[in-house]
Amino acid sequence: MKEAISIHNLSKRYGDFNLDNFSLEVPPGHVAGLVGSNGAGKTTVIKSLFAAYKPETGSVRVFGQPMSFGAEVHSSLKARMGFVFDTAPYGPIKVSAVEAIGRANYTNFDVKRFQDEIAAAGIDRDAKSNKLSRGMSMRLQLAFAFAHNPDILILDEPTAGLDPMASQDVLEMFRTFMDDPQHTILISSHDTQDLEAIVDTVTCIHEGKTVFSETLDYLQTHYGIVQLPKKEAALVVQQIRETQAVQRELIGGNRKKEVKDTTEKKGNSLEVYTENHALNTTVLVTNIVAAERIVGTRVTFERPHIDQIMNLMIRGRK
Amino acid sequence: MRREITAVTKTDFQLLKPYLLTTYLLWIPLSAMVNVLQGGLFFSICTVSAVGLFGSVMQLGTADEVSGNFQLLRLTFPQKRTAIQAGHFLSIFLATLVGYLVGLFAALISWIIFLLEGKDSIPFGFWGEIVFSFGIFAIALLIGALMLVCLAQFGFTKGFRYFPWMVALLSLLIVPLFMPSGPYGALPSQVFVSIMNNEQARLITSSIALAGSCMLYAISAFLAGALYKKRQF
Repeated sequence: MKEAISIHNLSKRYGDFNLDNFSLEVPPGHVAGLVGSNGAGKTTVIKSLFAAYKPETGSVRVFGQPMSFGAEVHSSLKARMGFVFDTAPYGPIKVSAVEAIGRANYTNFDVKRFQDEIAAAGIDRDAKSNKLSRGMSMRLQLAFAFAHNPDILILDEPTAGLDPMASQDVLEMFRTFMDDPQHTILISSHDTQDLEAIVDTVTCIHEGKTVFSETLDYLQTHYGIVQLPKKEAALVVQQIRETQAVQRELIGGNRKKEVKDTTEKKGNSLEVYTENHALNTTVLVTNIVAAERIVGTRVTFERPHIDQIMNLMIRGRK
Repeated sequence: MRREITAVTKTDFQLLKPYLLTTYLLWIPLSAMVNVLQGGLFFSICTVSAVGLFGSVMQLGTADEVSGNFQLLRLTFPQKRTAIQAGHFLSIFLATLVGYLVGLFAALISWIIFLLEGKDSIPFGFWGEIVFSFGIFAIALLIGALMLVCLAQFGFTKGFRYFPWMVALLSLLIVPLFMPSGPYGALPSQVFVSIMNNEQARLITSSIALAGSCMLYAISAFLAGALYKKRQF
């Protein structure tokens, strides 16, 4: 089956910034999350999906067709894509004018769907789009995107600045969109907790480079936060490193920092990353605690959030 | 292709409507009234046309750049690249044409109003008309050309959105500067004065002014089209 989105070795330089050989595959029916700090390169990746610039190297394909700068094949592909930006790009025009723009640009623009969506969001057709609240503004963009029935939604920070209720509404709309198994979402966000609620895979970029790109399940089992006393934590870290050294030799890996000991900074909290290890974090640490006979010690495990993994990995790279 | 070009143009006018309306309904008529009062119909037609032309082009460009992600939005639409370019050019052509027509219309209406009020006067004489009208034209053209080159190189910034106002202000500043002892005070010979009073001469003057405006319009539209092409695609 053709990937819905396929980005291969994409590089783009803007002044000091350099998106460096970025690759991403998103199959149909999947929700892919893109995370990273400001200026990491998320928007550069998003812009590549509507061929907004000419990359230095690499290729972008949507449903197997090239989305390359200057090519004439975009139009049919773009008709299958819906875009939502962090701020509504309509300026001071009325909502009814946004509808007119939709009708002019998409042959399949569903006016009724658009009107139903904005009515559900409580948006007045005569309101100016730049006067809407952030939540309403996002709902307007989503109404616009949904009205032409896209197969792919590309979302750039869609929940940024939304209150929790508005954020939940928006996430619910994404879930409904994904009821169709052929639909696909690529979503970039700072709000990693919102991402965790819907994504299948997470790709983290930092300063233009990919830090990790894995399924959410993989990340949450191969990373772990373990609470245990400092003394034992040091021992456990040592054991994990030794175990991983063996693993590295076994698989011929060359990673240098699979484990990050943060006991100094976070009291009794130990953040563990066990990539290349056959065991998940909980099993690994439990085995070590048992083997080292750390008895009478309270050891607790916490499922890490994406932002914690992201911080750990980005710090680990420095 | 035709449908796509129309879609791009419709989108442009929907997105830029608030900005263009401000230019068409406020700045151009205001310039027309002031210029008619100061310089008469011919002068006003020339200067207001310049304001209308450049004002419209600049409003299109600056609003596009500074007021939201219009460019990004357009690039997400399902049109071919060639259709987007052609559609933009058509938008610029139409917007400036409307600006020009609004300028002419506003100047004419203002002149009629002042004429009915018995306030019409042509303070400069024929030579003055020529000097000031085409002087302003030349200045506007020069500034416009420089601006467009700068914009093509560096992009639009917020300051450039005030360009049409600058042109209007410039015309208001220059005219009074020359009024008390302008070159026409000594210069206009009786020959020119008689030409000025000649119907045919007036016709020639206005024809030259119109031709100049059209040329200016073509140049600005061409440059703006090139500018869009360079910056967006």
